[in-house]
Amino acid sequence: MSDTLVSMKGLDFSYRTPDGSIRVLDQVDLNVERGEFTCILGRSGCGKSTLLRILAGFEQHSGGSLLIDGTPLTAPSMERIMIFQEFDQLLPWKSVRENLLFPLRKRFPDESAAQLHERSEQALALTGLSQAAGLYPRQLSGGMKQRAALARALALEPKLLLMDEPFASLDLKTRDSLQQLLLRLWRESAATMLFVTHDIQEAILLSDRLYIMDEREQGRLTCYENPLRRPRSHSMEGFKSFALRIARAFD
Amino acid sequence: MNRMKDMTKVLLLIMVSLMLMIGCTRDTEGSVTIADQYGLAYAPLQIAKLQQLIEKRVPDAQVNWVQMANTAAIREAMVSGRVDVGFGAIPPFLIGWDHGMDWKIATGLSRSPLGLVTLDPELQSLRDFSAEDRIALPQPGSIQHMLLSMAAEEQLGSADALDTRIITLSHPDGVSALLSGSIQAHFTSPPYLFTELEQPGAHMLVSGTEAFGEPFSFIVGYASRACYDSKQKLYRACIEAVQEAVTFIEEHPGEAAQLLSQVYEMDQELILKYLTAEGMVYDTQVLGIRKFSEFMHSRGYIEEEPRSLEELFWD
Amino acid sequence: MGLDRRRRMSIIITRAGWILSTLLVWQLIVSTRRVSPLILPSLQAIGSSFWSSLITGDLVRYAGVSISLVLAGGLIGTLLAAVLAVAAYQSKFLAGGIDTLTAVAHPLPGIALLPLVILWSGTGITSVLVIIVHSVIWPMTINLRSGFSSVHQRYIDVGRNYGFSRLGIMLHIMIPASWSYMLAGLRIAWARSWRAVISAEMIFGVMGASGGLGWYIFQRRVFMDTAGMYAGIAVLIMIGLVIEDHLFRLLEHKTISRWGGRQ
Ligand SMILES: Nc1ncnc2c1ncn2[C@@H]1O[C@H](COP(=O)(O)OP(=O)(O)O)[C@@H](O)[C@H]1O
Ligand SMILES: [Mg+2]
Repeated sequence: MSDTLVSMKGLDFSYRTPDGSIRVLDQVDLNVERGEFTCILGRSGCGKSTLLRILAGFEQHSGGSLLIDGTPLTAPSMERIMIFQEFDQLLPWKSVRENLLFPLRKRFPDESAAQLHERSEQALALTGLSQAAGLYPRQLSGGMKQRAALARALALEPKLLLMDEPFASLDLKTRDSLQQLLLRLWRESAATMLFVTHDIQEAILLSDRLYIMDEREQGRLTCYENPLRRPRSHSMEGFKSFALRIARAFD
Repeated sequence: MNRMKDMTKVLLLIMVSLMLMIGCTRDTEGSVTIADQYGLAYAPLQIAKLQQLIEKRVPDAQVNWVQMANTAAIREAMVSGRVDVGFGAIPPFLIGWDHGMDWKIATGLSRSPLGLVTLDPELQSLRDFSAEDRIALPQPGSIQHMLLSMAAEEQLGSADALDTRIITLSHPDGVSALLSGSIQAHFTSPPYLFTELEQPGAHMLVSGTEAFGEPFSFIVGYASRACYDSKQKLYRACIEAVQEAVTFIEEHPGEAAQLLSQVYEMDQELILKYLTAEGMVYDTQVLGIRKFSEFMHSRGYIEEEPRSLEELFWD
Repeated sequence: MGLDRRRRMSIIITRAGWILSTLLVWQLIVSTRRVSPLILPSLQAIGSSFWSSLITGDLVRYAGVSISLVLAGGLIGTLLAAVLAVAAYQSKFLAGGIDTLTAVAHPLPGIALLPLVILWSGTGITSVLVIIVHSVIWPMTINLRSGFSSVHQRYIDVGRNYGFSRLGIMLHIMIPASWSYMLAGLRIAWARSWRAVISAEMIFGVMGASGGLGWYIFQRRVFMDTAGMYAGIAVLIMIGLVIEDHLFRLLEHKTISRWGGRQ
């Protein structure tokens, strides 16, 4: 008996525009198991970000059911933290440390300043940002900004981390190291990961379970179990063949 | 270094043009510029202007009339040579004279009822002002301010007893402030004085004559030395024109009122009533200058006291 | 940091250069004796008038009155502008009204309202404050609103993700994110309100304790103390330079330059 965190059934969503409404998601089903690393793979424009925004509570779906831990999702919550692709998600007028402390105060209102400070320092240490704590976002590289966003999200101890192509704008080397960092953080935390990407290799490297989103069918998701053992590498046995299978399904 | 050179060039240019401008402000001999202010006390000047009384005497003269907001502006214009003859009250004249302005009185123009008006039945004398009450008058150092100070000295024992309650407002702003109740009293002159006194409950706390204790000129005409020395013919013409206008108003008030009703955009009957009101006297005689200069000197408004009237009058 | 200090030094040097040269030209013209000292008093006369008013504390007191009026009016105006901008942001219906109000009121010079202000709120401090608030509120409303509309949706989402209410998002996200617009608005508001307060004081000054710098200058003028008048104007200029060159630049340096350009 598996432990389902996100249970989405027959979900519909349309954007309302001045020229009428655009149906983006139609009858979408998705299950995310607690503690698992789930990836959603899809071409740009197929509705991945929309799906995450609904899960974050930023957008209201029009039909179907969406349960988190068995209760209907109503509003944004610090239980579900979103990490964006764009580097500009840290508040530019706050230092890195302040960027962490500011939601922490709200998340753990009963804790003392020292305890909160401890939490932020720990998160920064885990992401290798201890030295950068006093810097302002504009002084960070793209990779450091995404690390800081990860640190900020994990420090809040969310049940579910919603990641919308967080590494898509990074160079290859930085992306590799951030993927490894993310896997380490996932192993060490209790968080469930829902990770959106358009990169097959990335999805295979990270996921326990992998969904392909179909743009021709309004976001219909097809599930694939990832057979590869961890730790994984691009050169490991079975990687290529699984990648080929996914690539075929993807086209 | 280049910047230094540029800067020097610019500064030289500014300096040369300033010098040229200053050199040019003196206007030609054939023209005269006369400055007055708004109010019925200046009525003879309007007559002189309408009937071209100066042009009648010096046919090829170019006469420029300018109306200014207050005596300070007239004084500044006369210092810089843009105005030859200005009209206003005696106290601002004495302040200018005290600061070394080369000007003297050329003629008297009018005596006028002045007064401190209130609509507040609680206020019956200067003694009744509370610390929050506000008294409006055109500006410090004006004749209204001096008269108020004289009355304060007489009734309250000290000339500056009311100074902290004074605010400065132009006459029309003062009228609306008084009517709206945002000030408690207004020291003013006709036609504003008459307008205010027509309001229900309006009464005068102190009149100009009570404050001064004797008749005094409200408006006089001053001329700069430049004008007196180098434009004798025009200077004389101005004085004679004023005299003629004054006589005209005194002898033909009805006709004068008709002419003036266009200028002041007021009803002819009303103007006639105001022109002939008690205390409204058009007269080229200058009265009260001794008393003003003694008072202003003793209260420190002027540092020097004129030794003889010759220092103050051209003729 | 080093760069900024050098830039500020260079501003000071440029300013000082021009001011000194102007004073030099001034003194040269005075020394030709072609201009009456009632128009152009010597620098010594201005200096000694300045000095004597300074040691009696008069100048500081008068300047203090004007500055505190601008500060109080600026604060009230900014808060009201924030209320208007927030209301317009939250409601399309109100936005229409606020748009119209701003379009009507913004171009009106405060001094043009003076007769009305005298009728409504008299001639005391309140009236001066009303005029200052008027000169602050409209540019601030306009700038705050463009600031709000420039804030990227992502920052708002971040705020929502942390469970902030609409008000919380306003305070913690929208306002700091539009700070550069606010600062620009404050600059305009300062220039307009400083002018307004000085002119208002000249038009209805109050004798005695509560006069400001405009009143000081007006008083010197009516008593023909030209040197004192220039001394007052010099203080006016100095305050303007200090606020524009130093206070605002410092504020900018401490905030926007640190956070980096546009957010
Ligand atoms: N705010 C919006 N209003 C209208 N249409 C939108 C909006 N956001 C996205 N869309 C449209 O919805 C579709 C899915 O967008 P999105 O979820 O961003 O795709 P993805 O993240 O997979 O690239 C696209 O066709 C996009 O143009
Ligand atoms: Mg997307």
